[in-house]
Amino acid sequence: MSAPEIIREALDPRQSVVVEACAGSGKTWLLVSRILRLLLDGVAPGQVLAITFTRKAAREIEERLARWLRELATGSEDEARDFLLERGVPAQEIGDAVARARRLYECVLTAAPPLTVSTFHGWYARLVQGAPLTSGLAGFVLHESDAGLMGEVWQLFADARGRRNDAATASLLWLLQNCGLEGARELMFGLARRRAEWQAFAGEGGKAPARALQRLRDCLGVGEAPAALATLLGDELFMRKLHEYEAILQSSDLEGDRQLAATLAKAFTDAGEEARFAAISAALLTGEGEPRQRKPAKALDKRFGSVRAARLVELHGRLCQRVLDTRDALREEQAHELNRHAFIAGAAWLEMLERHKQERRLMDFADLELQVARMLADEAGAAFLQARLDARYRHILLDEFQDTNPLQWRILLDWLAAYGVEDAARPRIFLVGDPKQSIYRFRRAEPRVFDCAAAFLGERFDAQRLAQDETRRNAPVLVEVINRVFDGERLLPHFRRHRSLAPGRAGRVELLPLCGKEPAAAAAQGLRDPLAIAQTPIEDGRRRDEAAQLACRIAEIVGRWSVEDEMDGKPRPARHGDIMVLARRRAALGEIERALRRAGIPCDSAGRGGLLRTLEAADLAALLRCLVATGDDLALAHALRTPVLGASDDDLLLLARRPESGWWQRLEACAGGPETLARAARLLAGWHAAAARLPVHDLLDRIYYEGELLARYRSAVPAALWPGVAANLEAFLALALRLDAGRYPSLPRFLDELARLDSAGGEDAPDEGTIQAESGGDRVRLLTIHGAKGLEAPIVWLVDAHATHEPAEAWSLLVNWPPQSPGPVHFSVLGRKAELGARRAQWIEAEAEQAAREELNLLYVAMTRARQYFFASGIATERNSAKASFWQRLAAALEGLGGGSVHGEALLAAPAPAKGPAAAAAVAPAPDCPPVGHRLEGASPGMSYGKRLHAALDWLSAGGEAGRAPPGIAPAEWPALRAAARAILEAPRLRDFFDPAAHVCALNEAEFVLADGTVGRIDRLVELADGFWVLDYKSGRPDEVLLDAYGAQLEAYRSAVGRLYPGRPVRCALIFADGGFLEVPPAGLSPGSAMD
Amino acid sequence: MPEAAHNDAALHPVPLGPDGLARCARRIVAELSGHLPDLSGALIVLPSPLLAPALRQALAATAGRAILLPRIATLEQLASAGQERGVPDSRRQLLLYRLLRGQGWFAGSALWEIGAELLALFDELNERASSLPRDEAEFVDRLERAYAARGSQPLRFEAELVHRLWRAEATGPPSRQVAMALMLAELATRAAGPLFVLCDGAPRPVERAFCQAWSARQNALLFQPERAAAEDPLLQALNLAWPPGAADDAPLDARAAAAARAWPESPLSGRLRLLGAESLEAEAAAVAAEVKRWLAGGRRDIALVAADRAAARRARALLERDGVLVRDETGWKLSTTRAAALVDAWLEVHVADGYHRDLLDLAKSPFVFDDLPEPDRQAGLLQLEGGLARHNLIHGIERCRTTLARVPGHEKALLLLGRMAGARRKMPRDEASLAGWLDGLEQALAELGALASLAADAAGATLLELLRTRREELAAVPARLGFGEWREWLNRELEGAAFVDRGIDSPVVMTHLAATRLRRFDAAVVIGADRDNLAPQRSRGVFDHPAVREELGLSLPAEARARLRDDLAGLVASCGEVTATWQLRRDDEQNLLSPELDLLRAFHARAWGKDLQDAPPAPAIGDAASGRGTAMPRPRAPQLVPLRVSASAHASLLACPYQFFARRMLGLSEAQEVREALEKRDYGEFVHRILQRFHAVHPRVTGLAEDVLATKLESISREVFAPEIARNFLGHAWLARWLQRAAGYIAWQKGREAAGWRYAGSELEREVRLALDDGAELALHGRIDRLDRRDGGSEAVLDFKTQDAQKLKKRLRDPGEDAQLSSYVLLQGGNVAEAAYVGLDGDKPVEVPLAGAQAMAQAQGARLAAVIGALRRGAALPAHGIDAVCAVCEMRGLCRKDYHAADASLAPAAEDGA
Ligand code: SF4
Repeated sequence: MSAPEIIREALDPRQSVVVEACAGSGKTWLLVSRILRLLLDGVAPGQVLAITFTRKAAREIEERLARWLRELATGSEDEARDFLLERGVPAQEIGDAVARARRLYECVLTAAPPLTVSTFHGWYARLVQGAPLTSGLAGFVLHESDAGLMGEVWQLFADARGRRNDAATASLLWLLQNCGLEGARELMFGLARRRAEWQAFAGEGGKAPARALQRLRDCLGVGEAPAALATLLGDELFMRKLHEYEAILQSSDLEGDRQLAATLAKAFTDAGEEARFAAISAALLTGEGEPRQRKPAKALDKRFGSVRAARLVELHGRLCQRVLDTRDALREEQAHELNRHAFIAGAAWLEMLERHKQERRLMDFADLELQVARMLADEAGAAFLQARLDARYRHILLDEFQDTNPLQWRILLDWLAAYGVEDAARPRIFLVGDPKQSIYRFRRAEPRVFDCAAAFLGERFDAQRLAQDETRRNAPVLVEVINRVFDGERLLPHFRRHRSLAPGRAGRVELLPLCGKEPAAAAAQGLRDPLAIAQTPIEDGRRRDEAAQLACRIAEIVGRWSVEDEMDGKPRPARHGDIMVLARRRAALGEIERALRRAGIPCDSAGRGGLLRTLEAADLAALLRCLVATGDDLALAHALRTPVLGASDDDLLLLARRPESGWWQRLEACAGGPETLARAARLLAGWHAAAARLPVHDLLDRIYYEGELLARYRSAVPAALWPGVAANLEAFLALALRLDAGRYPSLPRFLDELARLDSAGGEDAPDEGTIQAESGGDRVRLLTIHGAKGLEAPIVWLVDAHATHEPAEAWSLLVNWPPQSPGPVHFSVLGRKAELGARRAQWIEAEAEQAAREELNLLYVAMTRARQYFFASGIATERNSAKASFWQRLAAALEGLGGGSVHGEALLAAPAPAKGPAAAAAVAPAPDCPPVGHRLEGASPGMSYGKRLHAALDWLSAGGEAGRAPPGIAPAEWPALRAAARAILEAPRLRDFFDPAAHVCALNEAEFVLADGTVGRIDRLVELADGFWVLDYKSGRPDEVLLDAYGAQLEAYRSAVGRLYPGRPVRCALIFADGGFLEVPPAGLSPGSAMD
Repeated sequence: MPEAAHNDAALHPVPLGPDGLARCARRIVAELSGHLPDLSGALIVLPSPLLAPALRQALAATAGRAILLPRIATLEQLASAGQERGVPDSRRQLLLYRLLRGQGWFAGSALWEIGAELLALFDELNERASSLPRDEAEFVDRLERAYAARGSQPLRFEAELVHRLWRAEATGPPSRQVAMALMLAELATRAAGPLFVLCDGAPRPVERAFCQAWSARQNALLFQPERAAAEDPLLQALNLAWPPGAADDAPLDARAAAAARAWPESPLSGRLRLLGAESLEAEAAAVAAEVKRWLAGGRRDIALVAADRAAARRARALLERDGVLVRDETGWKLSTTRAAALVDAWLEVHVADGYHRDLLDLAKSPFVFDDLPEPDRQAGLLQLEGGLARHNLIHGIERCRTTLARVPGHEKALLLLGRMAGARRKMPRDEASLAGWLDGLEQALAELGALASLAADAAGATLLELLRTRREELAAVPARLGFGEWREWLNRELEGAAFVDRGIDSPVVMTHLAATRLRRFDAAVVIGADRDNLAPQRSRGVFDHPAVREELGLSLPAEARARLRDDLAGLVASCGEVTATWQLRRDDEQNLLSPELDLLRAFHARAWGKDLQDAPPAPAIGDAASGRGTAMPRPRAPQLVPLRVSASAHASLLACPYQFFARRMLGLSEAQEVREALEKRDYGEFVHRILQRFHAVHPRVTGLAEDVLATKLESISREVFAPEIARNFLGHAWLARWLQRAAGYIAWQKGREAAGWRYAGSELEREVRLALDDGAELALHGRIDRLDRRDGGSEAVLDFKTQDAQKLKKRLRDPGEDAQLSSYVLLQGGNVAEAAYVGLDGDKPVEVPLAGAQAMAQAQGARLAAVIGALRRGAALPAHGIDAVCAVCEMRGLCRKDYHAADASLAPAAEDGA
């Protein structure tokens, strides 16, 4: 089918389709276009569910859809028409479609329920949120990685075993003794990671290990108890033949034969089945476990006579076979033993893990899947879920389907299978993916799901199957090589020849010779002077050579080669940012990064999760540590040497020679000393004090600011490293902010958490800062192939291309879950390679084949990242692997394309006009602004005394319970207030002020505002016949009062009331907690003089 | 006052535009003009106390003279003065918890959450003056209809549960919310003056009800903001972008065209700016720059609307640097304060019996041991930290106390531990009532000397107040809870309570969007205007299906969106200038602008061809031109060169002179830490100890029965490993690892004896003197792992390594680079004929010998003397370790290797050619 036909079919909203789309063919474009077409067709946004593999991809889809819809809504009609035609809208419907399309933007923006673009896990999380109360899932928190948690529970699990003496304890002990600490841990963690499969295989509850073992025994052909040895040794016929064999050997005149006979004799005398079997094996087999050579030959005839020789050869063959069979059976029995212990300990371990997470209400992705699978498998629950959420979905779009795992497919199937073929509510499905790009087996992805799903959808949803093999990305030359490498490859049945949709694009593929071993360094003359000469590294230099070669080529390419600009398609000289270096394993990128740094080539760090390993992060950690652990001399010395404090070695020497016991004290003693140390002492003392009260983030902010951190780092760091360092310094601050906003922050906890994150490694470890475009975005990107999924670049370099995949080490899991099956058909634990029996060969081979296929997929993904130029390099290895490396495959392909190590040609760029150094964007100096705001002295006073007394007076006069405090009054304070209120209410001379009959009117908390906006509040304002009284409540006694302090305030009140009621007399008085009364005369008069 | 024509004004709210408060004030003053200057007879109800100051000013400005203000309060404030306060929420929660727990329907850990969701549902029903059907069957029926699902068991269960609990709630004593309604109704019967109620949106049922009740006796007037009624062009333009209600159905471009026709210049220009930032830091910097620009331009009242709290917090820190303090109106979760961290640290210590990290965390809290003299506290801390590490005390307060009590120099640490032990005794043993737990907690805090310091801290005071209030509220409920249940409850409380720091007064305020309603600012910045942070409020809880919500009269998503638009429109209209910032990417994912703003942006671009989005100023740390890197350090310190060095110092000097400098001349070393599990080097240590003990019993193994030897070696091994295994079950693996090698060891030992070697001792301390050419003497010392002797007196020094032979061979590939064996040969002297590492990690021990041992040792001795001599003459110590050495070097922070300028890494030492 041609591209437009495929588009027309794939986007037809009325039909379900399965699209297998090659790399670079525009899967996202297709998917978003389909959503658009659905919406055009009148589908409500809430009826669309799109699921993709990562959150990042989901966001990209949303962003693109929003952008398209926005453009449709605000662009011209003509543009909209072209836009829709390009997406297969039939020409006769175009007028209507345009009008509708222009409304979609708002319609989608405000849709409730909204259009859902999500990952599987995001969608599951929503399902779980909608789960019935009975599921007990209320209040669960999703956490993305459980590496840290597992480590913690692992120790708890071990502790529990130490206290208990049960089957799990015995099994864990067995595992520890037989697999070692790492092995046992590996097994248990592996089981935890694959607990979904485990449950699907063994079921839940205490019987799970037994069920799993039963199935395993069937596979291994063993019984519950070991029997192979007993069977062999109890076989009389066998033993008779063995005797006969021994007798013949005995008769030999060759010393060696007689020795073997002696060895064999032990099989009849030794105690213990194992010793006896060992003796038999030793006599019959070589040290490598192969049958000894015993063929009919003259020499043999001579030694034994021809009859006996013939008998010997015959016996040897039979006996060996029996021994080998028994050995195999023994291996299966050992495998059973290993699995038995692994399952028993494992079940207990999983239970503990589960319980632990239950208690903390944590759930990770695997749990989510399990929960959803459980809910859907339960009929009542499924109906409920359908009712709550799913029933509304009419269109399901599944992206990157090759990365789906069997359980996820199971969940979909449980849902989809519920619809009958004629069901009107049956949703339409759009499934897109590329089995060739399936590289996530380590995350349990199962590429076979793709075909299985396609078949199901074809059958039950009339889905049409389409294939898209045209790439918009890769240049024709690249496509030629790609076709050469993959076409006809047995392991890639999905591969069909690709075609490039960019016929004019220049391209080139180059394979660099493998870096060989260095000639051994000439033996040094005499001993090295360590003060003058650095050691020569012991490691061989092949990796360094490869890296150096790469750095050198990059320097040649940048600025000289011409690439097509991604935005406008015009040729321009290559930049650093056009280059992507890929490796299968992250470890291989370390050397590359160092080499690029050495060469001054800006690059993005390959170090995901490496933030805390950087020197700048270590610096900050040391700085913080010396503030909470003043006894840690090394941390302090480290802090002093950071650019922030800038101490020299001489400064350190000075401190080292001081008499005080600790370095902290020594530094304190230097407060008046040399400038650097004095500054350090001053700053550290300040931060030490601040550390006690400031949150970590604010403390760090202060360190950044007062320590002039950025400026100082900048001058201490080589220019090429600076953007990375700056980004990391920023990332550290952001990390502090994030951890700080969590519950219960403290500096020691923060540091503990840093240590934990660092040692947990893996997904938990914080990433290094992202270097922002404007501060040096033009950088070579270093990525793993996995990390490059979904990305592209004009120039791609695959390093370490000659390494071959290492098959799984011992203590791993062997799981096979064909997607058609409701659960795994095989689930077991693998022991050491050499000890594997033959009964699981088919599963092991299937696994190996899958791994080999994924290998090829990796190469496919790597190559298809390149738009124009692709390089591969590697290092020569000593061992020759049976498998072809990437490098070898490429070499073969290039050979087939006419030999040489280069295919295609690079365009050279027109020499660019010399440019001055890029002027940094002018930073507008921040305008000066006045300081704003001030800190209030002391803590907030809460309710004023007047107000509280009021509340008390009101409470009592309204008949409130005297035993209970009115609202807002602390119980502790109530008795005193109550007494004051009573005293006031009972004081005869205050009667006029409180008896409604005695005054014209009275106002509590009389608020006034003057024309100039001044606001005030008078505790009680009373109007008597002859004028106004301003009353102010005081908590003390009259003799304690400093009248001056109140004079001004009362004076203000007096004048305010004067302004409210011009011409009326105003008098002021204080009322005390004991009922005391004191009139305050107008300013100038002494107190009491106005009293009656 | 106009004659009391008790009208129905309550039901016909007065619409308000963007200058809402001023309009209100005008109307109120007009209504009350007969009473001037005493307006105190009137009552004004506000939706939020934050509005009161502005309203007072507006009234004053309108009246143009001094006045006595009307009473101004929120409904909550009015009601709280009453006698009937209803059942506090905390008690409702606890009662519900007890009820749910008693039923045993759900896992214990889910109960608080389920209870909270149910209460939230009931509260919303009350708030909206809605109710569940009386009859349970009808309720089930309506739910089934809404879900379009019949006969679903879980649904039925859920419906019954909710209904039953709702009934229990509705028939029990009134909740605070219900009590408030009762109070207000009662208050209305005493209405003595006119009432004005300001709403910040569509009137809440409770507001309406109050107004209506009031209007039976006195005039009542209801004000409601209504942007549809706006006259202001800006607001009208916003109304075209965000049509209020469902009234306007015209497509976006038609509305944009209408706007362009109405106003040739955009009314929004200069009023709204959208800034997408590259990172968190860039966003914070952009916010700070905006605020400073405004302040410098004379604007004063500025709101930081913190949709994204983290970015806002970062921005606040940046502003504070420049003297711009921010008043925080919204506050933080109490759980994020240090005061709460102290409580948690204590509970961790309590529950995990003093796990070492928790102990230190607690001891380092600024709040504890407030009553001890500061020097004692500091000394106690140092002693505690050192003591725990030195004695590897992982946990157990009592164990720590007894261990440290045995070693002098821990007196102050014991003081602290004693207090902790005392505090533990104050906590209830296993089960207690909630109030009992709270009581215990307070006593424990008192014992820890933390009460006074907490009370002196603003957050601490809030915390104590919360604990005391709850204790009082819950005193009457006797339900007994275990520690875990209680702690979960406490966590939720601390998470739910807010701490507002009132220690700063400033016209720049941090607040949230809803709190800006009806207020005016000179300028405002919305921080975190992305899709997730600036989103309509989501309903939460038991019923979140729209159809069901509609059926039950609960709030719907469309309402929330309308509310968000109203708020944003209100903010833009009533501020001089608004900037919205967000991060373009987050965790490497696109971070989309809030849909409302995206729509506005599209609308604006279409209408006036101008993009509202602007680029933030470039960050100040942009270009990369100026860094020079750090020079490789080359210190000289002739005065500090030691004259006594160990074998490992010798090795360090060879590997990297600077490392030697830092370790041996500055005397720095890594602080000891508590080790929780056996590490590889401990394992090696154990093996050494085992072998030493074994050979003490059997210096010779030849002639002894195989099984006797094996048994002995095994029993010693078990003994040595026993304490470790008792401590950590995983230690079994290490023991097994060693036992697998034990037989091989005996065989190897036999082989050595057959070759004529006799065991002659292990762990032997030795010292040797080397002459320096300046006449001084250098002492080299070390401990020899194992010495063998042969007839005739020749000797062999062996060093056991728990490494495989391959690694050891590599190590000796260039023997001049390995100082250890050579040092041992020097130490043992001229009789040594052989020196070897013995790798213990394979099936059997493997010897890796040092070729030409004596000659190599002599040469190395001479070199060591020469190097030390040179150092004494002032030679420099460069930091030029190779990667393999640096990878395990603790001095990386001192030598700054990562920042060395590229060309400095291998600089020759020409200038020190001495
Ligand atoms: S990190 Fe490397 S260079 Fe620095 S002191 Fe340690 S060994 Fe020497």
